Amino acid sequence: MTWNINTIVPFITFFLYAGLMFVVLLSRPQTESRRRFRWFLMTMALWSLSAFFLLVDTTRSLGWMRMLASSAITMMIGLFFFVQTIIESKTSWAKYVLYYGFASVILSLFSNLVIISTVVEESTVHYVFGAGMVFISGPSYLLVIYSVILLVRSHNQTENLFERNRLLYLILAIGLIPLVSVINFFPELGKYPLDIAANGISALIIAYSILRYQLLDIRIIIRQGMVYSIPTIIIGATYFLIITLSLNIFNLYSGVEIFLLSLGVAIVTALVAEPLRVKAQQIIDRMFFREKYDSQVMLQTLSGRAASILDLYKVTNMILTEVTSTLHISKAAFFLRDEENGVFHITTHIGFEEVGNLSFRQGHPVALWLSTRDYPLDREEMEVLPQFQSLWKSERQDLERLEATLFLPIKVGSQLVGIFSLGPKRSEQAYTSEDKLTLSTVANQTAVAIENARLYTAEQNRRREIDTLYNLARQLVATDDLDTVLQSVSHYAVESVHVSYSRILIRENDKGFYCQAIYPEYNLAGSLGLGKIEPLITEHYFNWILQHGQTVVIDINDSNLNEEERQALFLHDAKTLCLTPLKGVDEIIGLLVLGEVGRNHREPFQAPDLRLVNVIADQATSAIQRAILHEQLEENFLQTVISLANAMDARDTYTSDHSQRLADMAGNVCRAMNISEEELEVVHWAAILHDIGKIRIPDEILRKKGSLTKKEWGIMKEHPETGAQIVAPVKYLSSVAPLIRAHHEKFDGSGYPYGLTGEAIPLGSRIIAVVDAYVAIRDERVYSKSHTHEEAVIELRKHAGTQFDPEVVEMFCRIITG
Amino acid sequence: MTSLATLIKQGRKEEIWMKYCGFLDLSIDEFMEIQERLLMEQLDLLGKSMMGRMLMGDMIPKSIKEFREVVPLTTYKDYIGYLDVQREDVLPREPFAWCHTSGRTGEYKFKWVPYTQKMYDRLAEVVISAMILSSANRKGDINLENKDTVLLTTAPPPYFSAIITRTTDEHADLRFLPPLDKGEKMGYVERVQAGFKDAMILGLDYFYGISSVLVRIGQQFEEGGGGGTSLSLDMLRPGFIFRMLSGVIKSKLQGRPLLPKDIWNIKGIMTGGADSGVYGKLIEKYWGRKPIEGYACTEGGLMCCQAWNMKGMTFYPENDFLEFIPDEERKKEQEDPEYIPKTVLYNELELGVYELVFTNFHGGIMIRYRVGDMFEVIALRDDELNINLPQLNYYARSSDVINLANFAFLTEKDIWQAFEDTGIEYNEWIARKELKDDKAYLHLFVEIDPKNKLEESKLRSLVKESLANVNKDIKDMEEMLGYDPLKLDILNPGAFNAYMEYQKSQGADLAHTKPPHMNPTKEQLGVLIKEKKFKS
Repeated sequence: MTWNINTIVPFITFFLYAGLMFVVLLSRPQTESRRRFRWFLMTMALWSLSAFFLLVDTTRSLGWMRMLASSAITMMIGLFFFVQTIIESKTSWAKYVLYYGFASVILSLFSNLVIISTVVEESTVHYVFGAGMVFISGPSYLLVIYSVILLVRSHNQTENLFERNRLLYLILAIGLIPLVSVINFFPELGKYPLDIAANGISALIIAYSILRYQLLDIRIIIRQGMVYSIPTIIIGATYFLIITLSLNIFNLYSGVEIFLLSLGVAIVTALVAEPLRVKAQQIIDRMFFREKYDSQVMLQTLSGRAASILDLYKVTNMILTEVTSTLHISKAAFFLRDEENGVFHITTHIGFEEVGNLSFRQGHPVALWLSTRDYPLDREEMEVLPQFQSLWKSERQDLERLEATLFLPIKVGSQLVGIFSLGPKRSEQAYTSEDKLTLSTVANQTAVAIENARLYTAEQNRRREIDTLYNLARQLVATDDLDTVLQSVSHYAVESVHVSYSRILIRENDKGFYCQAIYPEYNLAGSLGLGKIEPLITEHYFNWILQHGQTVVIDINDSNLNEEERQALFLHDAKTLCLTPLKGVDEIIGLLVLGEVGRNHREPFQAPDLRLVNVIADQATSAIQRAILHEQLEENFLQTVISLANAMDARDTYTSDHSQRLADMAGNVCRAMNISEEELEVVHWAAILHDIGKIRIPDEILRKKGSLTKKEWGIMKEHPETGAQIVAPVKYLSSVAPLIRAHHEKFDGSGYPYGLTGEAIPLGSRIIAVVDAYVAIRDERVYSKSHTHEEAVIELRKHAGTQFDPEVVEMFCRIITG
Repeated sequence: MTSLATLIKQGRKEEIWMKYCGFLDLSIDEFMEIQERLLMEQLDLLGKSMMGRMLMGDMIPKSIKEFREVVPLTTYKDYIGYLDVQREDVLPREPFAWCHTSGRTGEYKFKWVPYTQKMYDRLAEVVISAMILSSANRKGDINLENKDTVLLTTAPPPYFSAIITRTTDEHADLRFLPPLDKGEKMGYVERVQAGFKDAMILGLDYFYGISSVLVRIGQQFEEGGGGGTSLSLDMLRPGFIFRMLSGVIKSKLQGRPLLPKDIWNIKGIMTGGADSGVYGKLIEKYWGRKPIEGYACTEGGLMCCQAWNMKGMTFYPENDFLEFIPDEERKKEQEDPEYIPKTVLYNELELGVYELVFTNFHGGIMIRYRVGDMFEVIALRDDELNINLPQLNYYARSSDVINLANFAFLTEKDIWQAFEDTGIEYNEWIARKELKDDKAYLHLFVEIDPKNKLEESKLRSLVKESLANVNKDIKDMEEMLGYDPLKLDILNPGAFNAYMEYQKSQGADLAHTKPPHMNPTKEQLGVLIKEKKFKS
C-alpha cells in the first residue's frame, strides 16, 4: 500500500466522519433528527472508506467503486430525510424515496447499469459509467438540491439568529458535497480525490458548527488544555518534518551530527514557532474561549471597582453596564428588596425605554424560588415548573415586559436582598453553564456591594435625619409664630426628602382641612390650594388617615382614583403623594402632604424617606402645637388687655366709648395722610390702648378734681410707660407699645416721659396726641368743662408747633371741620 | 414559550414531565401556595366584575379565611339569568369560548359555562398531562409523540368535551381519528366507526372518553364482529395489512379470538365517570392497557387524574380553588336545609367522603360552586409513588346516592359493579329507591341480552350476592331490618332503545336520550317500562 495524497485524504475524511458519528451517538437524548444525522454521517464515512479501499485494494476495485457509488446515493437520500426532520417538513412522497433508494443501491452494487468497469493504476482511478447512471444517480442529486432549497428557505424564514447560523453552516457543509461530487462525471477530474477532500472540508464545517453553535443541540465539552495543545502538536509535527527533511537532504548518519542538527533545528523551530504558537493560541481563544476570557476580565474589573463605590445606584449601574457589554446582553435590571414591605423594586436597568413600576411583590413565585436557592433560575425552567403556574396574568405580563431569560438571586447571608434579571443575549444563544457561573459570581459581588452600599446609605440616611432634625429643631425653637413654623416645616420637608412640593393642611374642627402652608421646589402651575379648604372629594382619604393614624402613599396610576380626585389631590403636579398625619398627644392636628413628580431614578417614598417624613412630621407637630398654643395665649392676653382698656374707659372720667372714638378719628387722620394699612392698624390699637397704663394710677389721683401735687403728677406721668410695658409682651401689639409710650410727648420736647421732639415722636403718637386733646377739650372732665368744636379747633391750632405736630393738627382740623 | 411538539422533537423529556406532571412532586404547602396566590388574583378579578360583586358582595375578601367566611356556596341556580343567556358584560374576563353540558333533566336544558383564554389553554395542559400519565410506566416516562393518534369520541361543539378536544388539538401535534373538522360534523356512531376505520390504517395510540365504548368494541371483537368496522378497498394499505396479519397471528398463537390489543398497541386510555372503575379490568383484557381515571366537569375543567399506578386521583393545583364539604356537614344540611355546611381545604382533608366545592381561577366565574359530585379520600399520600398530596377516588353524584334506611349507602358504581360481577350480559340498568309500608327498597330494572334465558329470581339472587360483595353494609341488611330490600325486574328486550327513540322523537338533546342510572323520575321510568307487566 502506498501512502500518498490520494489515499491520505479519504483516510482522514473517514476518521473525521467516524469521529462526528461517535459524537452524535454519545449525545443525549437520541432524537429523530440526531438519529437521521447519524445515518447521514455513517454513509459519508462509508463513502470515504470505499474511496480509500478503492485505492489500496486494487484487486477488487470494481466492487469498491460500486460501493462508493451506492454509498453516495445512500448519503444523498439520508441527507434528504435528515433535512425533512430538522425543518419539520412532511413530504407525502417521502416513502417513494425509500423505494428509489433501495432499488438504486441494489442496482449500483449488483449490476453494470451504474459502473461498468474500474481500474486503478498508480493511485489513479479509471472508470466507465453504465447506461443507467443518469437515471439511477440523477434523482439523488435532485433530492439534495431540493433539500438545500428547503434549508435555504428555512434559513430565510427563521428570525432566530442562532438558528440561522446553524442552518447557514449546514447549508454550506451539505451544499458542498453534491457540488464537488459532480466532478466524478468528468473522468479526467474524477481520478483526483477532490470530492473526498470536499467531504473532509464539509466534515470540518459540521464539526465547527457543532462546537460553536451546538448544531442539533449537540454540546461537546473540550478541555481548554486540550485545545491549547493543538499548536504544540503542530509545532512538534513541524519539528519532526524538518528533522526528517534535513536527514534526507544532508544524509547525515553520525550520532553527533544528528544530535547537533536536531539541536539546531529545535532552537530555530522554537524561535520561529513560538510567536506562531502565541498567535495560534490567540486565534483559539477567539474561536472557542472568547466569552470566557472576556468574562474573566469583567470579573476582575468588577471586583476591583465594585468595592470602591458606595452609592447603590452607581454600583448597580456599573455592574449592569459591564455585564451587558461583556456578555452582549440586550436588557438587564436589578430589583432590590424594600425592607419595609419585602417588595423587590426595580432599582436600575439597562436596555429598556420605559419600565414603570416593575416589582416582585412578596410571595412572588420568582422571589420565593430564588430565596430558597443559590443558583440561577432559567425562564425555560419557569415554563415547566409547577410552582410558576401560580403567576398572575399581570405578573406574566410584567415578565414579558422585562424580557428576562435568567434570574439570579442576590443574597446576603441566607436572605434574598435582590434579584438580578437578565434578558436574552444579542446572539440569541442560550446562557451556558459557564455564563451562569460567571453571573452567579457577579451576583455575589453585587450582594457584597449592595450590603456595603446599604450600610453606607443607612448611615447617610441616619446622618441626614439627624442633620435635618437638628436644623429643623433650631428653626422651630427660634419662633413661636405659627406661619414661620409652617413655612420652615414645609421648606425642610422638600429639601430633606427631595420631593417636588409640600403642603401643610391644618384640621379645622367643622370645616375639614385647611391648607396653611406650601413649598414648591420650583414654580408649579397652580397655587397648591394655599389658603383654601380641601375639597370634600378627598375627605375619605383624610378620614382613613385620621382613623388609622398611618402614612399613606398614593400613586397617580392608582386605579381606585378618578380624575376629579386626582385633581383635588394635586396629583397632576406629582406622580406620587405621601400623606403623613401630624399626630398630637391625643389627636391628629393636620397632614403633611409631599408630592413627587418622579424625576429621580429612585422609587419615591422608600422606607428611609418615610421614616424621615415621620420624624419631620413629629417635630412639626410639636412646634405647630406650641405655636398654636402661643397664638391662643396671645389672643387671650389681647382680650385681657382690651378688657382692661375698656375697664379703664369706665374707670376714668371718659365716656364709655372714649377709646373707640379716639381710634376712629385717628384712623381717619391716617387715611387722609395716606398711611399704610399696617401702620393704621397699629395706630388703631394704640388709640384704643393709649391710656391702659392708668391702671396703676389710684382713683384718688385719677378722679381728683383739683390740681395734682407734684408727687401725684409724677405718678400720673408714669402711665405711658406702664401702658407700653403692658402691651409689649403681646407679639401682635409689640409695635403698638412705642406709640403708647410716646402719646404724651410734645412736638417742642416739653412732653413726657422722655421729652422727645418733632419727628422723634412716632407719627402715630403725634396723631393720637392731637385727637386725644380734641376729645378732651370737647368732653366734660373732672377738671374742666366741655368746649365747642370751634373752641377746640382754635385751641389745637394755638398749640400747633409747640404741643402738637402742625401738619397733623392741620389735617385733623380739616377732617373734623369738613 | 416552547411548544409541546418542539419539546418532543428535541427529546426534552425531563422538561415535558416537569411541565405536565410536575404537580405530583409538589408538597402540600407548595400546592396550597399556588392555590392561595391564584385565588387572590381571582378575587381581584371577581371584585371588578358585576357577577363577582353580586355573588360576593361589595367587600372583596382579602384572605382565604375571609373568603370562606364571607362568600356563600353557590349552585348553577345562582348563575341563571346570566350564564344561560351568555352575558359577557358581567364576567371577570372576556370569555374565549362558551361551552355547555347537559343539565339535570327538568332543571335546565344546558349548563352554559364561559372559558377564558387561560382556562382554555390550561385545559389542554391537563389533558396532555393525563395523556402522559396514562401512557407512563414509571416517573419521567414520556411515551407521547408527535402525530400520535387519538380516537375522536367526544361530542361536537359547544359541548364541553368538544372544547377539550379542540384545545388539545391546538396545543399538541396529535392526529384525531377521524380528523376534527370532519368528525365534528358526523353523528356519534358514524364518528366512532370512522375513527376505528382510520385507526386500522394509522394505528391507535390514545383514547379518552367513555369506558363503555371501549368495552363495546372489545366485545364486538370477541364475538368476531371486528369492532363494527367493515373492510373497504381504501383500507388495503401496507399498514393495515401488516397490522391485521400480526394481530391474527398473535391471537391464533394464544388460541383466542382477535382482540383490539392484537391490532393496536395502545399507549394510553383515559376515562372518567362511575363506570371507569367497573370496566377497568375488561378494558385491560380487550385493549391490553388499564385506563387511568380522571374527573372533569364543564364548570371546573379537568380537575384531577390518577397517576401511572392507577390508584388514587391527585388534584391539579392551578385550575380551581378547592374546598370539600365533609359528609357529616352534608348530612347536617340534609337534616336542616338552613344549615350552611363548613368546608375543608385540600390540606385539611382526612380519610372519608366529601362533596367537592370549587372556585374557578384564571377569570372563570364559578365561585364556591357545588357541582354535586362526591369524592372519597383513600389516602393522604401515595407511598408507592411518593406523592405527598391527598389521593381521592370519585365516589358518586351527591344526589345519586341511594340511602337505604340510613343503613346502607349505594352508589352508581356499586350497582354497576354488582351487575358486572354477575357475569350476565346485560344492556342497561336503572336503580330507584322506593318506599312501601315505611320500608325502603332498592328497585333495580335491567335489560339483559335476549340470549340469556334467565329467570328474574335467579338474576335477582345473583345480583344480590354480588351487591353484598361490593357493599358490605348491604350484606347484613336483611337480617338487621327483617326484610329483603332488593327488588329486581327484567325489562323487555329493546326497552332502552325504545326509550331513546321516544326521547329523540320528543326533541330531547343528545345528553338526555338515556335515562339516568340512579333514581330516574317516575315519568322516565314510565317510558321505559311502558309495555312491561310486572309481578311486583
